[in-house]
Amino acid sequence: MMRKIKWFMDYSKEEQWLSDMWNQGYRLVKKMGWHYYFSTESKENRMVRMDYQTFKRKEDFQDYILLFADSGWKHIVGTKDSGKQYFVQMNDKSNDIFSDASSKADCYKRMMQTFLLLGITFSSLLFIYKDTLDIQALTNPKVFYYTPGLWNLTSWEFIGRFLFETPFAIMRGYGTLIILLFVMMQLMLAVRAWWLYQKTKERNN
Amino acid sequence: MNRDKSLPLTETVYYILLALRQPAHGYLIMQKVEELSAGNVRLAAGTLYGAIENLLKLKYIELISTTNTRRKVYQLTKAGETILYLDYQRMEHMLMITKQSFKKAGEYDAKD
Repeated sequence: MMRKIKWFMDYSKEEQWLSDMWNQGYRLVKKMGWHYYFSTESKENRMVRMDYQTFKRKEDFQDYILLFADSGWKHIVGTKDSGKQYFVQMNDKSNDIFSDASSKADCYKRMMQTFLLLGITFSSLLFIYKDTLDIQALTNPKVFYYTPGLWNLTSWEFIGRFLFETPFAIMRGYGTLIILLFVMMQLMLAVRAWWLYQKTKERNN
Repeated sequence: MNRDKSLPLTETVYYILLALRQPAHGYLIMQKVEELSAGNVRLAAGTLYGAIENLLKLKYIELISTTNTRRKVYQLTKAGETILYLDYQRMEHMLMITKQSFKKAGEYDAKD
């Protein structure tokens, strides 16, 4: 089993990479986060294609996989809730999993909706905690440590107590900021997905 | 005239609706569409799946319950039948006036 770490946003680049790997004898068998796992098999020219779909019920997911199998595409990686679904071509007859540019582009639209939903959900947390953000205190992190007399302790005792409280202090002082950064990241990803949606939609295939 | 904003239907949607005048599962829809379009429209799985989801949302097609199959089976609804017929009429009108226009100009000989 071989492992590679990569991150993609553009499906066509990811598909190209996975197809190339497959052709060299490395078949995608598992994906966890940014980790791709490959089994080593004989070389075989096959295309790998991706879709973005989530499913309410298990039966919906099974029906979906069956439809692709019927038309010559084997589902290799993805779960009911994973969003990204990976397929490999079973014979040379099947060209692609999309027959027009707009349905291929719709993947990015669904992906964008997921990013926006995450962003909105976490920004509601910001709303709840907005009073805890104290810009002035950020330059003086000492105030986030609540242990009485912490700063007057002797070295060993100090280090122990200090390290113990640090994670809490970070959340206390910078929690809001971390959530804010996360929300901004989701919004940026959503914008990028929207851009890819427009780009793919205009491309004629 | 206040026309339904779903009109005109795309070629893909038109053929899917036409195919679903009889109940069919996904792969059967693909085969029927290919046949109905004389091989011109070949739907890929991802495209068909997206189209089905959309048509279910619009209530132009519905899921019918079957007991002995793992594949979902769909059929046209009343609303789907109506929109299909409206698009058919729209195209029929276009064909008629185009034929008249060509006949008048005498550029092409209309076969009938």
